[in-house]
Amino acid sequence: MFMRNLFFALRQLRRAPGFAATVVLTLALSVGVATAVFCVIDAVILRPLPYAHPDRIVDVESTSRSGYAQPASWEGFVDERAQAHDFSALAGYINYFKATVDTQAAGPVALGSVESTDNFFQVFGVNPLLGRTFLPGEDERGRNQVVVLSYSAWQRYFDGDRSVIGRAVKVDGHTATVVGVMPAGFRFPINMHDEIYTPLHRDLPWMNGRGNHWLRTVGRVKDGISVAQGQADLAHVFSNLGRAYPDTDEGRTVHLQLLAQSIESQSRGPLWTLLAAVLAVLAIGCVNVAGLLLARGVQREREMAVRTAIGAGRAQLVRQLLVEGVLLALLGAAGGILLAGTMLDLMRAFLIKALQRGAEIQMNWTVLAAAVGLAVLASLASSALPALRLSGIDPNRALKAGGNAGTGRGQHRLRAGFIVTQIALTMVLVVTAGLLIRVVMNFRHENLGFDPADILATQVNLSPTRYEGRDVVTDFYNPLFERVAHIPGVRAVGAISLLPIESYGSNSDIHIAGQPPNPPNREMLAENRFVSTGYFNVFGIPLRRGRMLSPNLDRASNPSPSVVVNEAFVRKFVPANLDPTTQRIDDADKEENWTRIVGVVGNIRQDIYEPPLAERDWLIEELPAKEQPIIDNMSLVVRFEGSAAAIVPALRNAIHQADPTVPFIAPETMSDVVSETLIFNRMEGWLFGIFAALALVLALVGLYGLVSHEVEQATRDIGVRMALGATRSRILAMTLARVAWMLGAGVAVGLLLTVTARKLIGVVIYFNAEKEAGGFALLALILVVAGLLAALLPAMRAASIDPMQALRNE
Amino acid sequence: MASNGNSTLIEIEDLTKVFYTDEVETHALSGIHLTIDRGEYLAMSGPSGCGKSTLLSILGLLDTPTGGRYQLNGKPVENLSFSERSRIRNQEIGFIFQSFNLIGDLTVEENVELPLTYRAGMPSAERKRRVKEALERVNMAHRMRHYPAQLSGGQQQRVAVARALAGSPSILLADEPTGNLDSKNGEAVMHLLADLHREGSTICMVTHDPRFARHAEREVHLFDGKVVSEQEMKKLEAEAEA
Repeated sequence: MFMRNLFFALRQLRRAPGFAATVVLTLALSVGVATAVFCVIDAVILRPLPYAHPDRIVDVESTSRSGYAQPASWEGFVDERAQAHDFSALAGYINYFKATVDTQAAGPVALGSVESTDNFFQVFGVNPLLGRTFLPGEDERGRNQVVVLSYSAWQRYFDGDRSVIGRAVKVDGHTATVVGVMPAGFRFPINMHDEIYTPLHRDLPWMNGRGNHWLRTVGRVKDGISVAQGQADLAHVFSNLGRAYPDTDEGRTVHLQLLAQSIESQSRGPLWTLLAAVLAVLAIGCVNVAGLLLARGVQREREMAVRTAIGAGRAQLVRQLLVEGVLLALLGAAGGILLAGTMLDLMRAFLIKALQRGAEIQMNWTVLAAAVGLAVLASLASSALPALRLSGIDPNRALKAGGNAGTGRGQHRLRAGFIVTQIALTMVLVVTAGLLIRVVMNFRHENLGFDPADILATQVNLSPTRYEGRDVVTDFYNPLFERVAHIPGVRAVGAISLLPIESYGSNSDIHIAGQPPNPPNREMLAENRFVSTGYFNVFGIPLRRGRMLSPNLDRASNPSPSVVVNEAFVRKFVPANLDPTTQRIDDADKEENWTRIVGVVGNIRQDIYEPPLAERDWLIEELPAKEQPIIDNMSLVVRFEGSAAAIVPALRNAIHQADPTVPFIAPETMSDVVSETLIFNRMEGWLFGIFAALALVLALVGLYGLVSHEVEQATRDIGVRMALGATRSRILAMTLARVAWMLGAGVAVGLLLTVTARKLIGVVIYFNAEKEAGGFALLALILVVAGLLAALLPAMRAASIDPMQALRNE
Repeated sequence: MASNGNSTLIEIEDLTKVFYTDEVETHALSGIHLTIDRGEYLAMSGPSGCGKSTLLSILGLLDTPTGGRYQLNGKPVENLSFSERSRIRNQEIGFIFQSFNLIGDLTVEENVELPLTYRAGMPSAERKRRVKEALERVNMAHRMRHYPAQLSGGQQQRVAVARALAGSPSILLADEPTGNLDSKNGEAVMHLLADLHREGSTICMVTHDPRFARHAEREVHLFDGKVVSEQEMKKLEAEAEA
């Protein structure tokens, strides 16, 4: 029986290829986007982290006494590790810097580098694929010349050569031995790629001083210990350290969070909201398919009546129709999987940058099963109503009516319900997408304090050993600036320790000498930057007061360093009645070493999401030799005219002429940096935009289909109206008026839904409905006009009906 | 309703209608001459396919002739635009169809009001008054709020007659008005039409049933697209049967 149903279903689809193609395409589109988003959610939220017992791995977040995130100092971390009891491993690490690795395959390359304490891999419980990880004590000076490769770095730069273990490689100019290769899939931090792992041993300026906070911490709680117990244990340690070191550690607090939660925290809410969005698209698709099946059902009433007349039971009719529905679902699922795969391929680079676990996104059996399940569910949901309606028709009436009994008021209401539902859901998606896209556009047009299109930036990573005992400014940076300045098209060149927009958060507490103590629990931080004089020219930062930094005046030999500060700094720290250029910052033990403010410059944005932060800038020439490793990693910035692409080869030559061991990293314009910073917002905007566009297309196709069907069904009625004197324009107006009514109702319900669901939508974008009323009205109008245009063709068809023909057919 | 004088309402001369398909040219009407006076009750009869419905469609301005002249109320109407024909249909002609052709979504009242809504400028109160009058005339005022599906065939046809009357047309065109009714309801509708005629309505009815044709004052016979006399008709029918 089932096979007979299946063969008949196949024949039905072959007999109506247009109908079958429309249904399959609708299902494929809606199931495809749902599958793609589910794939992302599966990788980012549902799939466990690639570590052993990830439910015991915690991210240790510490905060300063004023309540701001503040990593550990080295000495503080050593104490925490020694005094905490509930952790099987508590490891420190940093991943701020790239390491220059000499590879046979690609020469010197700048790879992401994770420097960690020796127990780092114990936290994750993952065995290496080859060799070993760090031994106890390998984070001590002299024993730390080992390196563990990630699987991707091993494959890409060492050709997956198994004999790499024991090989000596140059890392930042030092010779290190490759002792292990981690398995594919292991990465920490999870967003890194092609990374290497080295034992953490930094020089004295880093390791000394409890006020020097730079070390991130990750830990594994012991078997049988809960995260809450681990939290209590570490809080107790922090409290003890606060009492022991009141100047530096008092008031510091700690918060433990499961690593998985910490990783998901940015994306969890938006992704679930995205899922809600694709479910809306899926619902629109289902309604579309239901509408199509209903329309087709009307055409098949006579067939069903004949089947009933010759003895088919209701269950048999329903089964026949559901088999047809499942067949359509399977075809739709196949199309959906294809579409999802293509979407993910197209967005792969985007997703990897936007999501910490973006690299793990791929199709798998779970996702495929979900896609098929979704399609079958969608199809069954869509075909159930038409199946029940068709199986319940009165055969006598249907046979007498010649299979054209579908113009009842109930049908009209049902069709109107379909349209209103589709338009309402589309409205929600269109509004959300519109808001998100506007946010991205606003950020893109934000006044950053500089023109991002004319500035190129690239990272310079020097090998520390190469400049030991040398002046890196005189021997590398100044000759480089000289060469770059002579490249045709270059208008200015400079360097900064942290590139604006891309990086911020290197800061210190500030207190202006002679002012009352800073109020407790109030953030009094200013960003710290090391810059060359050319940096200000490149970014077009004007001098507001005092003087600019100058290598002739601001030397390392001066007892007190001099800085320029920005206007935000002055507003935050310097009372209005004081001249900022006569102030000093009491940031050293001796008064003669306090930092002098010599000039005030204009603001630029460091963080695109925030107003300009207070900032103070030192000249790189001011750094004493022992502190020069701080500027081993700088961003080279260039203001140019004309084509950036024309400058890049000359820039590469200039860097290699200044130092051939420096890996060349492809420069980006600051516009690109802004784009990449906004990547999560852009991803949200894009995805919602795609879903809204898809929803709109599906809704318009549905509207077109249903209006066409209505016109077909109402041919006789239209003929009667014309016989009674209705003109063609009146019929056109009547058809469009009905569509306008449905669109209006859909838009109204959609707006109501948007306001009702603002909490859910607020996860991705906050909005104030009253303030946005104008924008909402515009979107509603666009939707109504688009809907009317979609309905215009069938409405014109209605208006061109020949009344005599229509009545004769009757 | 038009007055029951003897002036000519419809005048047709040498009317032809040809349908063209890819290879076939079908002459549905050939050289028809016909006049209908105001207040006249005319029956058009003939076998299936003789052209009577085509002629009725042309009379009702639902279709245009291929050739010949057609004057309604003394004005030529054979070459009018669609919208002009719509306007005249709405004001001058009332249709009664074999299958009633009431609109299922509309109530009885709304169905009867429908042609009046297509008249620009008629106030709502006037429309309501006319609808009420028309329905009272066919004894259907008590079913105003019903939908067509809730009525019997005979009742639906009475509503259709009310709809045709509501606009006070110059002529009622009835196409097999009893075709979908049983004999009892058929007779009732014929009596209704006869009453309307007595009250002054001009009626042109297509029927193939001689019993109902006898209700009319005059009978026009059509055969193969031509008007023939009764004797000729009988002869041609006999030949066709032979």
